[in-house]
Parts: sequence; structure tokens; C-alpha cells
Amino acid sequence: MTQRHTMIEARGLSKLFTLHNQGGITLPVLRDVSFDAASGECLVLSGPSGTGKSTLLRCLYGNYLATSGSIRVRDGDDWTDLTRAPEQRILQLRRDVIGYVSQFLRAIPRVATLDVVADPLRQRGVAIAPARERAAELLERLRLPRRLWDLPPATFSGGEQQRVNIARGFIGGHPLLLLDEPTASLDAGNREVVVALIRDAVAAGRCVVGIFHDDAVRDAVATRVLALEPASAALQE
Amino acid sequence: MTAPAPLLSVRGMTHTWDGIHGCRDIDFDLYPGEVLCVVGESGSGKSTLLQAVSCQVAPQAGSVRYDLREEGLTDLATLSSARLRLLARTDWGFVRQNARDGLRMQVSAGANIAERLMAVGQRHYGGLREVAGNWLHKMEIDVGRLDDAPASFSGGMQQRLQIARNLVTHPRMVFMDEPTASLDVSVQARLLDLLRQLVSDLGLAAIVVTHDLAVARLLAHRTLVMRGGRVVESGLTDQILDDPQHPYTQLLVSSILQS
Amino acid sequence: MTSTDMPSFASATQAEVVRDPHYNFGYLDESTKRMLRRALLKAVAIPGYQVPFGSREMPLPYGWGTGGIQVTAAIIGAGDVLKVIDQGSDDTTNAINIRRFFARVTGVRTTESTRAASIVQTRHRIPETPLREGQIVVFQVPIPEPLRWLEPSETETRTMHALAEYGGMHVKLYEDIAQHGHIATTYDYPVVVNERYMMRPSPIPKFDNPKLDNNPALMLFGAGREKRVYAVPPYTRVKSLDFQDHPFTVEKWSDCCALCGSRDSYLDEIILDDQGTRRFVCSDTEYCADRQAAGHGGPAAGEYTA
Repeated sequence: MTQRHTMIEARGLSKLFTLHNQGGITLPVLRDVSFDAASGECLVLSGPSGTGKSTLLRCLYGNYLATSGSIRVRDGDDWTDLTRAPEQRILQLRRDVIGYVSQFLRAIPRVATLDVVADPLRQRGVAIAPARERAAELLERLRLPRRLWDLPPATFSGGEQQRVNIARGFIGGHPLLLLDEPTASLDAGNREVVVALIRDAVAAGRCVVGIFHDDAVRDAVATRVLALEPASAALQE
Repeated sequence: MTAPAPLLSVRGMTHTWDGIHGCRDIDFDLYPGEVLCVVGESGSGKSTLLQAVSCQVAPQAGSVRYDLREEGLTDLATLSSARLRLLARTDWGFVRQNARDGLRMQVSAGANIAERLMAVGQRHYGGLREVAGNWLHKMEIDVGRLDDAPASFSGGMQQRLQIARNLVTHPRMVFMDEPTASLDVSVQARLLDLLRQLVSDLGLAAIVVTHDLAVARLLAHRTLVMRGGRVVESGLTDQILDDPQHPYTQLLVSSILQS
Repeated sequence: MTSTDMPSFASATQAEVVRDPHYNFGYLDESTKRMLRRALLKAVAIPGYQVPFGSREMPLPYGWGTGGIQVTAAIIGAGDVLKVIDQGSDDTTNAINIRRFFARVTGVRTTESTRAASIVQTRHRIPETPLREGQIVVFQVPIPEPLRWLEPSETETRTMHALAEYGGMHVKLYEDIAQHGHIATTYDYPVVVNERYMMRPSPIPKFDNPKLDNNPALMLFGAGREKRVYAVPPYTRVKSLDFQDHPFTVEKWSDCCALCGSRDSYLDEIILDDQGTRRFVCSDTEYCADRQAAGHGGPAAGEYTA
């Protein structure tokens, strides 16, 4: 079960932004990034800001389009290159394989927190009651007060919204989990909870790729570090 | 793993009103349970696209193929008008921007909802009434208004009623033309959320035409951006909004006022 | 066939009217009659389907039965016997005038007896006396299109008939039940003919609708202003629209006919005095008189309503 499989193979990944409405200036953010990530490891992206850590994560989710290179992702026994996959395939991979915790929660109006968290399971066809139960377990673990569970998260504090986001990202048990600054708004106690969640996920054989501002958190979860340099990459162990 | 077959497949579709204005060379597929937004400003041809795809006007070039349950993907131009009309009344829905254009304003809400069921032969008054009442409830309209005419409803209620009227035969595909554009902002949010839930609960495929990127963000898995009658960019909605490639898309996205 | 002329109030005998030679037989010219007959044949071939025809200007205004008169004029022959009724009565102004018109332009025998007639032209009723094979009933129709209230466009209603898109009609019935608790239409009640076309049976009371179903006689319908004819051939299925849990029902009265005691015919209500004294009598005067002659009586038998 925790046998290590390669989950991601990125080769020659480059991302160049072209701002057509600002005179067509180009911003190279990633240049020729290559790496592998395997199940049972937590690969931390490091480097100063502006080096494309977030951009890389978004490319791994299909949220940003790579300018060149390839990103192969394992789905069971099949491999898919995200840069060439049809949109339906990417949607299916997001549902079943790749989870993503972004920095900010996009609050959908009127939906209760419990249902926001349960949604990834509901999308897979899980019935409403067991999905909500699982959501409740996670919210409990993340120490989100019960009285908030039936409220839409739009009015929550930054830290509360972040924990909802994390619960929603972890609930699906995706084999590949992308985390973008998951502890940025959390106090020390809650940071520890999230660290434990990540370590449990890794121990259960999931592949985690993450960005962590906090050195202590990074040191607690990282099994490997990928350092990005401006528009270039070098792999450090 | 085998890819699912598309529900609707459009290739090279063109329809212009005067040789110039309209839509050209439109290509896309729509899959079951998927929401596709067509985004553009006025004059972009997005409404023409919707009318051509729903066979309200005949494409002048290209093809529109739909997955008929028994025969698979079939070119709609080969269907008789009788078959097309039946399809439009049972397997499709069409929600218009102005609810008044999509409702019978003089008959009760219940009659409006039950009409499609009566059109396909349902003849039990009590049963029809019950189904209509359930739909009112689902659309968050007070069931006590079942016998009231929509002329007495608010704009948001009329729009929700129009949607219920279209969904009562459990269509597989729904076309929506600016479903929230005529509503007050506070009412829009509620309607969009209802739509989002319904589409998900009923496994509907939908094509939603809108000028509002926020509608696309909330409702759509995929988005087409139209300008000057052509699709300038298409992709996953979050990719279009977060990493727009085409100059026009970048302009549209950067023009959204941040709240 | 015996002469069964009954005494009427307007005249004791049926006057023999001499055919006026200044008019073509039946008033219409031969080519018009041929055009009408072709339209009628088509109508009979497609039960309930509205066939357009070249409606001619008749010597009376629209709304007075020009459609029915043209149909009768097209089919009547020298050997026919014509009965004309209006709201069940042979002796209203309209009925008398139409009967006299045909007598003058054809010279055919006219009668007040349903049994004796070969053609019965009617406005707003079907005779109570059962019809038989070989008879033709001609109905005067104001608005032939059952979907007109729903859809003002003629091209659209024609498409709806072609595609049998009749759901909207049931909307009307649904709405009646929702607003009034029952289907409120009491005359010109829509029917489906031969399980295919929806039809308006002309403003006959719904009481008469069951007579349309499987009738041995041929029923022809003419609308002069709207320029349409339609037909129900003999022994054709005619079903009135309804819901499974609100089935079609006919009118009922608490009283019988005051003159003949009938409990099976359509009754008119007559106010007799300023105190509001009411009486119910058969709308079909011939039927009522027949019953009285056969010895039946009601509470006011022997009187004549003045």
C-alpha cells in the first residue's frame, strides 16, 4: 500500500506569461523545470517569491497552461500528459486523482460549510449522509467550531476559511495533493493539526507537493525539497 | 478507459444574419452533466450561437449533432421538424433572459409547470398538481402560489418559474440565454446558486450564454470566449479566468471590478 | 317514410314554396358547389381536420350561418328533405329564414321532423331524436380553431395540428379546475376526432357531445367567416377532453320537462313572471311535441308557453 510509485513526471516545463494589453511584454516564470514526485513523499517547493512556486502548482492542476514541456500524471495504471489532455480528462483527474488547496477560499454564496467540504465526495457519487459525516470528522479535527458548520463560509475569518479549504482538499483522499500555503493564516495550534494531517496523508501513501512559508512547518512535513530559481530549476536533496 | 461520448457535437457551425453579423466556424463538444459558458460582449455572436445550436435558426454551414437516445449522435439537420419540436419540448430546455418570454403569463404557475407533462400525454390532474407543487418547492417559491398567475410574481420568482417549467420533463440539456441579466444583483446570486445545485443534482448538461464572467466562474466547467462572431479562446473555466491566453480574454478578465 | 309533420307554432302547415328560377339551384353557381364538395370530401377523408374553402359572400352577414348555408347549398339535391333548427327550435327567426331561403332557391321539401329529414342544418344543438344512416347534419360554426385562444397565429395553429401538439388545450382545462374546481367549459367543448385531430364541435352544449361519438349520420361543419369546413364521418370515435380524475360529464337538471316529462333531453329554463317563477322545457321543440303526441306529459302538460 505504501509502495512508492512515481505519481508525477515533469519534463522541460516552462511557463511564459504574455501580457497582450501591456504592450505584449513577456514574463518568463518557469524555465525548463524537470522533476519526479512519488507516492509517500512530500515534495516542498522552495525559493524566493517570484520564482514560480505557485505557478508550478497551478500547472500541475491544469489551472495554468504550460507554455512548453510535459507533465505526466499517474491515474491507476494509466498515465496522462496534462499539457495535451482534453478538458474532460483534466476534470476527471481533478475529481479522482489530483486535489488542490489554494491559498484563498472562493466562497460560494448560500452553501453551508459542511456541504462545501462534502462536495468533492458528492461529485464522486457518495451519498449525502456519509459525505457529511466525513466532512464533520475533518472539521472536528481541524477544530472548526460546530456552530459554523451550517453557515456559509463567506463571513468567516481568514483562518477559519483556510481550514474549510484544507478540509475540502483533504476529504477526497486524492492520491496527489497540491498545497499552496495551507497554513498561512493559522495560529500555532492549528498549524500543528495541519502538519499532522499532511504527515498522515504521506504515511498513507499519498503524494504531496506543497509550498510552505513557515520554516517550522516545512521542516516538519518535507521529505524532499525542490528549489526553484528565477526561470530555472535545480534539484536539491 | 473509454472516453464518454459527447451529448452535443458542433463542427464548423456558421450562421450570419447579413453575411457579417452572427457566429462563424464554431467547434465544441458538450458532455453529459457538463456546463459550458459562452462568454462575450454584445455583438459577439453568442446569442446567435445559442439559437443556431438549439435549432431555432438553421446553420448555414457546419453541423450540429445531438445524441438521440436510440440512434446516437445524429445531425439535427436531418431530423423532421416534428421530431425537432418534440425534442425541444422533452429532452431540451430553453431559458430566456426575460422570464415573460418563456412563460404563459395569464395561466397559473401550476399550469405553466405542468404544461410540458400534459403535452406528452399526462392526464391526471391531481398528479400534475403534485409534480408542479414539488417543483415550486424546489425553486424556493411558496407552494401556496401554485394557482397564482406569474404576472403577480417578482422578476426573480418568474425566472425561477421559467426554469421549473423547462426542467419538469427532466431534459438532458438546457440552453440558457443570460438567465440572470434581467434580475437585481441580490436576486442573481440566489438564482445562480439554485441553478448550480439543480445542474449538479439533475446531472444536466447546459450551455449558458452570459456577458458576466462571475456567472461562468460559478456555474461552468468550461468556457468559450467569443468575439466578432468567433471563438477566440476555450478551456476550463478556471484556466480561462486565471491564465487567459488570448488578448481579448485578458482584456475581459482584467476588466472585472474586484469587489 | 311517412310524413310526420307536427303542428308548429309559426304555421299550421308547411307552406309549399315555389322555386325561384332567377337563382341557380342552391343559390351558389355550379363551380362553387364543386369546389365545396371537393373540400367536403377531403374533410370526410380526414376526420376533424379543417379544410380551407373559398367562402362566398352570402345574402346575410357573417355570424348568421353563412358557413352552414354554403355547405347545405353544396350538397342539397332536388330529392332531399331539409330541416333547419336554431337552438333546438324550428320556429326561431333564423331557422325560418334559412328554411325559406332554401325552399326558394331549390324548391325542395322542408320539414320539422328529424325522422323525415335527409339534411338537418343546425345552430347550437343536435336533435334529441336519434339520427340514422344516410342523414347529414350541417353545423353552423363561428370559430373553427380550438387552439385560437392559445395561439393567435394561424400558421402556428396549423403546425400544432399537423404535429398533434395539443398539450396547451389541457392547460385550459387544468386552469379551469384550478380556478373553479371543475372544468368550466359548458358548450363548444373541445373533442378529439378519430384519435387524431382536435376539433371544436360548434357551440352545442356539452350535453350533446356524446351524440357525436359513433353516430350513424354524417356530420359536416361550416365556418363562413373563417372559411373552413370539417367533418365527422359516420361511426367515428369522438372523445371529449378530460382528465383521468376529472372525467367528462354532461349537464343534469333537478326537474323534468314541464310539458312532456322528459328526463333525458336538454332543458331550457324559462322565467314566467316577475316573481321569478321558473319552468324547464325541452330545448328541442320537435322532440317535446313528439313525446306529448305519444301521450307523455309533464307537470304543465297541455299549456303552451306563450
